[in-house]
Amino acid sequence: MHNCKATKNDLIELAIRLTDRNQLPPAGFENCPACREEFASVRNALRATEAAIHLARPAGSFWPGYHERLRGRLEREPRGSNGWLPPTRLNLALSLRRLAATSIPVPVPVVLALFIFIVFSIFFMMHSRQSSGAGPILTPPSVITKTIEVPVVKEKIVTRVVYRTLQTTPPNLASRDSAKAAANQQPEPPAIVQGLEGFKPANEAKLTIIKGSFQNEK
Amino acid sequence: MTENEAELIKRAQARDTDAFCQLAGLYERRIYSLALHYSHDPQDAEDLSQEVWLKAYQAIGQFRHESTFYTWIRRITINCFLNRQRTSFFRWRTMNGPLTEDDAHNELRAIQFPNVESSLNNRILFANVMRALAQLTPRQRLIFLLKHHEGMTYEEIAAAVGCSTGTAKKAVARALGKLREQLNVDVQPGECVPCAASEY
Repeated sequence: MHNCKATKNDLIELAIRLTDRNQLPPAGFENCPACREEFASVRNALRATEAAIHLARPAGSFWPGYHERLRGRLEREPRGSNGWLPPTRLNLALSLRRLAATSIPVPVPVVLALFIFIVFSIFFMMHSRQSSGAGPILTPPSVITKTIEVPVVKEKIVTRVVYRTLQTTPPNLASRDSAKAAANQQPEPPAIVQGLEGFKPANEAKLTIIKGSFQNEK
Repeated sequence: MTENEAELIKRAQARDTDAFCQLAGLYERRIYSLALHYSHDPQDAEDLSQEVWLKAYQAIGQFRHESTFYTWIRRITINCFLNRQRTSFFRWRTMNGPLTEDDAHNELRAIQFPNVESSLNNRILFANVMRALAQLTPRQRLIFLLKHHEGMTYEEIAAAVGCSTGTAKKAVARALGKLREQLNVDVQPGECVPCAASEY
């Protein structure tokens, strides 16, 4: 289906590139009088413009003077100014410029994740700085080497021999003694036998006769 | 790029002014013509085109043979044109309406046509074309010239000028509309219209 509006741009293109023989006219163009009129009008306008351009071309005598003036301006132009750089510096400047202009496609989710990470990092950094600023400021401990004499307690093992006299008591007495001891709950102080050292026998012997027996005693 | 041109570029990069002038001689007419239609004035066109060559002379060391020399110089030309935004630069900016014969005598007196044999009709034609172009913005005019004069694609124009391809298409359509209006080339109904198919 031919559409004049859609064909309009193609007509302009066709009119401009009329010399291109391989270009085909838009479909339905030949059967549409409006499009043919449009095409003719555009083409006439372009022909007139072409003619005007042709008219405006300077004559051959114009160019030697133009060339001389251009050469004069080029020779007055100082070398290396306004953009021209020596090759080595130029390479560096160019590579830097290219590096600055280089861009890589980054997926939006990655950018969002990076952005969130940076925001959280800044937040936590500021938060930790505030919390550390509230407490006392601790100066780092300084290490001082000082020699101090400390008394060392030395343990000495002393062996002491203790002699005890063994008492042979009858079983009843033994049981009574043990009951008494349990009632008092005070252990008898152990008889300390100092041994026979310093023992001197008496000059006179005193004899005491005890009558009766254990069973008759009342 | 011819071998001679490559040699000239190499010498020009070594700051050989003669070589650069020979190189400029290969393309100076195209650049001047572009500048003339952009600026509407021969004197301005000369200033503008020579400014292009000066910038090229300063930057010739940066030419890396990644494109043809003409593509590179055209890029410089486009940048020069876009940077040149002097209000006095566009002398015919306020002109409107069709040009009468009396107007042509008065206004075209200042135009120094290089081809002196040009008839009054040709002068009027030239003035009308320039007047139509003057009604466009500098950017629209540049886009139209790049399309019509240089044969660049819309994608190339968009990349060079820094606009979308849609903007470039609209600029060309607007320029053609102004030209048709100014030159009065609309075909009357019933007029014999040549079929484009016959051209092929």
